Amino acid sequence: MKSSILALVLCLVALAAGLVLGVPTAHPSGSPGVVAACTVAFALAGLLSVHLELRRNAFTVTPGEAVLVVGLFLLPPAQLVLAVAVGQSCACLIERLSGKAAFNVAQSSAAAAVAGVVFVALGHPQARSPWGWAAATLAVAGYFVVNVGAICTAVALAEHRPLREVAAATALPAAVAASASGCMGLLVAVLATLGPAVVLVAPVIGLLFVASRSVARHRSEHLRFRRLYTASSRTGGLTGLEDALVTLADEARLLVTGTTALACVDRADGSWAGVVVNDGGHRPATLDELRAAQRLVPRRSDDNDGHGHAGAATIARAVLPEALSRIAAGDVVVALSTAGEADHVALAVFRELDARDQAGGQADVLGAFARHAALTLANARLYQEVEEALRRQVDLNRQKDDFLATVSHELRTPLTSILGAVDTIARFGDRLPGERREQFFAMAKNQGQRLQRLIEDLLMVAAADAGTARCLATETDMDELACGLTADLGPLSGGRLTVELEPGLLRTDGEKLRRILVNLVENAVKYAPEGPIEVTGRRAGDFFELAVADRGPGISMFDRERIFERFVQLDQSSTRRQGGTGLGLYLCRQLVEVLGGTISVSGRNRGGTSFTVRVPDAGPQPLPSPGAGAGVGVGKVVPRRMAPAGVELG
Amino acid sequence: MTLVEPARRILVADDDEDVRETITFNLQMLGYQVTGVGNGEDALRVARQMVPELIILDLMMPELNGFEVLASLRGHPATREVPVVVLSARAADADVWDGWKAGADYYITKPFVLDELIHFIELVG
Repeated sequence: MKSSILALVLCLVALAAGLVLGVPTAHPSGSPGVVAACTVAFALAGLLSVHLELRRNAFTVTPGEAVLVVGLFLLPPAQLVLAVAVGQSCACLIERLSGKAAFNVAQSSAAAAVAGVVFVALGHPQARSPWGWAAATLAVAGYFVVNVGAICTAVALAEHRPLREVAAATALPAAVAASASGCMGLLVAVLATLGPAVVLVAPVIGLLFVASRSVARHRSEHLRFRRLYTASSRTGGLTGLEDALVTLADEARLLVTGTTALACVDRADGSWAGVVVNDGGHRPATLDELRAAQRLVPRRSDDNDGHGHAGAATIARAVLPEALSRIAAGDVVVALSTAGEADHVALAVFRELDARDQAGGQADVLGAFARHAALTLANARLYQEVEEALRRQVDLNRQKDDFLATVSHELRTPLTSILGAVDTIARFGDRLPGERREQFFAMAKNQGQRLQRLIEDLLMVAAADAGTARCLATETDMDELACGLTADLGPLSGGRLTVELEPGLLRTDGEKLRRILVNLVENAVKYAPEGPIEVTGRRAGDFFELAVADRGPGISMFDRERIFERFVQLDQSSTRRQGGTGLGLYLCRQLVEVLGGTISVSGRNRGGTSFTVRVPDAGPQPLPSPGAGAGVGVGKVVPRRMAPAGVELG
Repeated sequence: MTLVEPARRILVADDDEDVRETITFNLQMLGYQVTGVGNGEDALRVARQMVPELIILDLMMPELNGFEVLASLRGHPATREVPVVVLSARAADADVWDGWKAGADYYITKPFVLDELIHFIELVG
């Protein structure tokens, strides 16, 4: 028990003792039989209780005032307090409210002492006089004030809430119950003086008790729905998944007056994520906890009303899976809901409160909240997806802008030389020395070929992207291919190129394969300024495996994923040493896919990069659709979902 | 009696050898004394050494790009007043504007007409 509550209990005990011992009374002591009867009546009244819940704590409305009024007329304050204390203790024992017994007994005793002293101070009148009725009413009022005051103070201390707020929530139902009980007691006291007529009051007592019970229940429902409303409005606009889970768990915890809550979401992709929230904060749910929560969820197929499944139930601690019972003490209220076909949401809240008669209501409220939670989480997921899509789109747009600028630059550069050369020849005419004239013609021709290559590359990429590129398989002589490569690229590489291909015929699109190798070798010449460039190839089963290796600076692990993407050039700065459009490796990948093969890149031990191309003999079977070539996953960047909060299942 | 002026010195900085060669040849034929360099660092070093009467500067160059070279030229008292013609394949409006802002005296986009370049050089002279 908290020290502040203990202090409150001690104050109440001191108040009761001080009043009983300090105020003399002329009224004769009641007989032991009357005291015993009052004690039993108090115990019974304590059992006829109605719970009213205030977040984590509940207070109990009992018809104790009825017994009090009768007791006031029969017993002096000391004996009245004794009867109340013993009766309340018995009721607590029977109800097993051990944790709150000390407080309950203390506050009832103090309230009874105040009532007794007020009644004595007013002269301890008889039951049949109007003055007696007035005195009894005032005494009940005193009892009520001390009672509700003590409870509200205790709840406010325990939950750190303003006293006024607690009092506003409890005062009305308590006052209604107290006045009903008080009137009842007065009626019994008056009728008792008439003898057996007291029996007539029994149906009235029953009626009043039912009425007060319904008021308290109604009030309780009202409070709960107000909490549901505020909880829903507080969680409506959440956009981050983890934030949403934590907030939803916290609200669910407050909603059904629990100590700890587990909120988990079963996402459309089959992954589970969850958080556990208690007074100390929140943590991701463990795999065991998530699995246990999944099993708990009541999946009622007959409840499918087109809005997905929904269900809620209270589960006793005894039947909880071990993984869950370790989380916190108490029974569990669980609820499941689904927003359309998408995210399932499961909420599990642990409650220490013993409120058996309201467990069904709690589950209903949690069920309603679970529906809202599912919508909130679906909303958060959609928001994240839209945000991600937008980010990708912006990224793609930027890449396209960069690409356009690069292509423009790359087209303009050879054109500049061609026009410059032609312009020069035209300008000087016959004044141009012969070797100069040859030089400018050669320049124009070379740059024209460069331009032609670039345009061919662009067209080929466009064709591959549009899906119109086809593999035209013919018998390709690997010896011929090797000789062609050496002849075409040897001078460009400065004699660094060696080509060794296993001789034989390969049934594939020879022109495309040549193009792939030319691109890879040119790439190596560009990015590996020194060291040998080796092209090797050998048959491997139904495939022909080719490798282009250099001794350049190499490519980092991270960049190896990116280089096959369209428009990507690792060095995009304006001081980059190498031109090019960033299409070379992308085109290689596209062409390899058209051939039905794979391409991959790896680092080499002593520095450098090695590209490996595997192409099938006899062409691709079946014809692959570009961009979705089966088994051509290398270099393709698979979009990774953001890891959700907590742990993923399955 | 004719007054013989010393040949005017022009620095051409472009990493594309063909472009550099063409400009150099044309200007030499017109009687200019032309030095060609292939990257930004050389451009800056040679510019400080010889203090040319005009610089033809590419933007996309290794080591130091044209903007950096231009900023350094403008920040040095010896080369602050030297006219600079930017010659670039970066032809978007934004790129041209960037060139003007960086302190270029003239901006020519590639591909270009030799007459335009020569006309500007004569205008400055």
